[in-house]
This record gives sequence, C-alpha cells and structure tokens, in this order.
Amino acid sequence: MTRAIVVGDSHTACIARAAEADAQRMDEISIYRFTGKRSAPGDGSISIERAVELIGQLPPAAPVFLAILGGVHNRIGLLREDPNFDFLPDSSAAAEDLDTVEIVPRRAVASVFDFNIQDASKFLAIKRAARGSVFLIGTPPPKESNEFIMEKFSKMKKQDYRGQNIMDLTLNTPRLRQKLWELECERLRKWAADQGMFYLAAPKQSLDANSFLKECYYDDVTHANTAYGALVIEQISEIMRRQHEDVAHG
Amino acid sequence: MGDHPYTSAPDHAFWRRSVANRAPELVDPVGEFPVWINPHTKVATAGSCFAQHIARHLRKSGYNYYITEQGHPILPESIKAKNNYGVFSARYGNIYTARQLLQLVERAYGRYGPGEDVWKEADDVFLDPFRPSVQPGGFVSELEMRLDRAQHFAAVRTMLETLDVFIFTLGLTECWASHQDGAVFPICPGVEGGEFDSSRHFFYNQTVDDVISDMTTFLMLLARINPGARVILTVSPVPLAATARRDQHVLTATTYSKSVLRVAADTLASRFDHVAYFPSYEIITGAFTRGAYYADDLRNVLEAGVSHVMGLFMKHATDANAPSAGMSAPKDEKAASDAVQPSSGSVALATELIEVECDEAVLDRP
Repeated sequence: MTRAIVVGDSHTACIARAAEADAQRMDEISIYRFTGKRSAPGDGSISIERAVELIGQLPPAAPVFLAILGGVHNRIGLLREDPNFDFLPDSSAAAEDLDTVEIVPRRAVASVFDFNIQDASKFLAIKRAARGSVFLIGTPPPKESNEFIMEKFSKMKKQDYRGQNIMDLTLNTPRLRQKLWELECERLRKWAADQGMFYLAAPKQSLDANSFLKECYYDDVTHANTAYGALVIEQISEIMRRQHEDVAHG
Repeated sequence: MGDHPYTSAPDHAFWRRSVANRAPELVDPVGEFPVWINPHTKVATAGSCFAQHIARHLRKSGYNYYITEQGHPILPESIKAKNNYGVFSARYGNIYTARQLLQLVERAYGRYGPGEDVWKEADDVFLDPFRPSVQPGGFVSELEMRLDRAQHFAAVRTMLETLDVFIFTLGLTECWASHQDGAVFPICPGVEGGEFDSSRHFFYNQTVDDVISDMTTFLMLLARINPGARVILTVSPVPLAATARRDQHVLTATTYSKSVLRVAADTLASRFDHVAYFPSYEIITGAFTRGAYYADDLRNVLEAGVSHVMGLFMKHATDANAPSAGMSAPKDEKAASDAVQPSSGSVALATELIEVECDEAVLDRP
C-alpha cells in the first residue's frame, strides 16, 4: 500500500530508478513525474491536477515529497557570461573569495532565485491537498569537475548552442556554481518554510571534502544518478519510519 | 498710440493668447529649444524623483536612453528594475540637490572622500549613505557595498565621458550635511538608514548662489571631460514632502526651493552655450492645469502630466518622424480636454499614478 508519494520534475528520475531496484520500496513509495515538454503519451507522467487527486487519497500520515525547482543555479551558473560575474557568499566573506569580475550584490542574486520560485505557486495545490507533511526535496549539489562537464558536452549530438559551437563555450568556476547552489538552497528552504513545508537537504554522504557532489553520484551534467537516488530514498524511508513511530506511540 | 515692443510680440508672449485661451493640453511653454536629439544621441538622466518619469519615457521612446550601469545579464529585467538598475543612467538613486550631484562626480573621480561613507544597520545589512535605498535590503557586508560602489563610480565616469546629452532635474535646495567634511546626504540620516546625530549632521538650505556655484563647477568639469556634452536642466514640479525649516510652512518652503532652482537653471542656461532649460516645471504647475496634473496627494505627478511634458520634449527636441511611442501631445481640443480629466473613463489608464521611488516621501511616514 502506498505510504508516500514523490512527485516532481526530472530529478524524480534518479529516485524512481533507485526505487525500482527495491520491490518493497516500490510498494510503499509511488513516484510520479509531472507532464512536461518532453513527456510522451503513456510515459506515466501526470498533471498537477492528477497529482492533487492522488495525494488527496493518501492516508493522513502519508508524507508527500516534492522534487521541484532547484535548477536555476545551473541555468545562470554553468556557462560563463559576458561579463563574467561573481558575488559574496555571505556577510563574512573576504575579497579573496571573489573572482576579479563584475560583482552582483548577493541580495540581487537571491532575488533571481525568488523570482523563479514564484512560478512554483501552481504546486501549492499539492500542499493544500496533502493531509500529511509535505517535503521539498533539495536539489543535488553541483559537480566540481569542469573536465567532466566539457567531456559530456563533446559527446552531445547537438553541438550548436545559441549559434555557438558548444565546445567554444567557457564554463564558470566550480566555486561559483557551488555558491549559487548554496544560495538557491537557502532561498528554497525559506520558501518551503513560508509555505508550511519541510526542506529535505541533499544527503550529506553525497558531498565530497570540498562540498561538491561526489563523482560516484553523477553521470551527466545537471542531474544526479541512481546511486544518489538511493540516498534520497534512504532519507524518505527514515522520515516514513519516524512518522510511523510517532503514530504508533500516539 | 504708436508702435511699442508688445505690438510685434509673438502669441506666446501673451498670457491670454497662449495660456488662458488655450486648451490645457495645447499649452506649449517651451519656446526656442536649442538641443536636438536623434535615435543615436546618447541621453543620460539624473535628478530627483521626477527625473524617473523622464527616464522611463525615454526608455520606451525608441531613443537612445543611455545606461552605463545596466545590471548583470543574469538578472531578469523585472529584477533589475527592483534593484534600481536602469532607473537612471547609473545606479545613483535620486539626486536631489546640486551639491549632491557635484559631490557624486568628485567622488567618482577620486577627488573627494566623505568620512561618513557607510551605514551599518545590522550584521548583514550595510547601506551606502549616498544612495541608501538603491539596494533593496541593503548590502550584505561593507565589502560588498564598497565593491558595488567602485563599479558604480566606474559606470558614472563612463556615463559622463561618453554621453551626448545629460538631463538633470533639480529637485530640492534643502538637504542634510556632515559637519566633518560637508558631505550631503540624499535623505536626512536616521530616516532610511544611519543615525541622526545633531553633533555630526546639520541642516543646509542652498541659496541661488550655492546652486549656481555647484552647478557651474559640475558643468565645467563635464565640459572638460566631455567637451561635446549638452546639458538640459529641468526643475522638479514635485513639492517638498516636508521642510526642516521650523520658521516656514511647507508651502512657502517649497516656493523658496523651486524659485531658487528655477532662477539658477535660467542663469546657467543663459551663461553656458551647452546648457538649456526645459520647462517641465511650468507645464505641470502652470495655472492652466488647475492642478489636474497632480494626484490626490497634490504632490505626485499623474501620467497625463508626464505625457504632456514628454510630448513637448519630443516635439521640440526631436524629429517628429523619429520613433516616439505614444508621447505626442494631443492634437485636438477634445483629446486635450480628456487628458487633464482624471475622472474620464477613456483616459483612466493615462491618468494612473505611476509609482516612482521618492526617498523623501518617507519623511512623513505615518
């Protein structure tokens, strides 16, 4: 019987693949991807309205996990802009933490994330429909290796990007990607709290010593892989176990 | 009776012919205007909050509204606007006084460095005292504020050195200054940030001589760094939100302030070939409007008034066939009548108050 639902965008793919490897999990956790531009008939994707229906039928204690938002740090941080930019990660940061480029005030960068989060208001129907807790699944951490990303670019079928050969593009520094990811997580955490949702941060085991995503947890440029999905499944299971205990103990 | 000088005077010299007997929207007090702009002319703006209207209209006019501090391309346009990029040609916020303009230029060129140059509001909120509302929420650290200021000064220098026409709207004579070194603030310390301290801050009300002197220094500096630059001066028709003069009513203090600025503008336009005066003040405040260009607060200017100003600006300063989106003055009496009637349904949109950021409005915050 379904005891939890995970629903969201492309980030659900790695969670679904991880769950498929475990029959018991598949029985307890239902994973859906929202219908989007790349959806095809019969691919199992669902509309927000259908998700609301399904979630409304869940038992009261069943948690809902939303895997939405979180891609803006990649959109603005992967490829180098002209002029290149940087920002201070926090109020105590020193000038040494900055590249010698155009500095964008941190609160202005934060407002870019907030601007995109506004689009998520359509998902709030899910929060309203849920009788149990709703969790926003944190976006996977960025990758450190520019070499890996460029290698992946070189293997892409479409080598043209906005009129430029993809191999002529320059990547931002890993540190800038990381700062943007951290800021996006901060804004998502705040938004989730404002909406009465919990924020499920990326699994700590997925981070390397420099706080980037460990190489074993990714296979492409922007997503995490099945092994990472398994870590998220573990987080979800732990939450379900705790909620079950809470119910059992009254 | 023989001939006298008024016999051959043009219609615009007579009140009855050019003001009292004209439909309000057809009143055109511009006269001869010596500055000409085309779609390639780089037009920069600065000044008090009324200058934001001029900037906004120029931006949508198809003319080259010149912005040297655009905001980074990662910021969507709406976020740029919220962060005050593009409100003026550089992110200096409202510049109310001639002294403030002069000190901005001197600071941008490293000729002047005020002592009180950062306001710490909290551990992660720092304001630039000379543009305290330019970064919503403030800067996260003093370092960030200083880095942003350095970029801002570079943008100001680029603007001054490369602009073709600079439109400056003189807004106020009243300001607050530092005893330490005479630095003037756009808004009294303690209102939008900082702490007011009577031992450190004093009230300073500019005289005609002060304004002329400050503007002359600025104009000569500009002429030196950009010999081809032309300057258009306007006076903001927006009254003072509050006066710091205890001996004066805000109405008489407003009259003093606007009179000083108007006289100074005329004097400067007479004195310098590269300076012209554009009468937006008269267009908005003239008796012919019967106050119809003001919002209910009798301070903010309605869109119909701004359109009248910018319509005449485009008529006199540009080629009428060049691009200008919806800015021409009404061509007939009916349209003119509609434009000054805020209650008329057909012009409801045109008479909507366009929000502008006026720091001094907070002086009278309930």
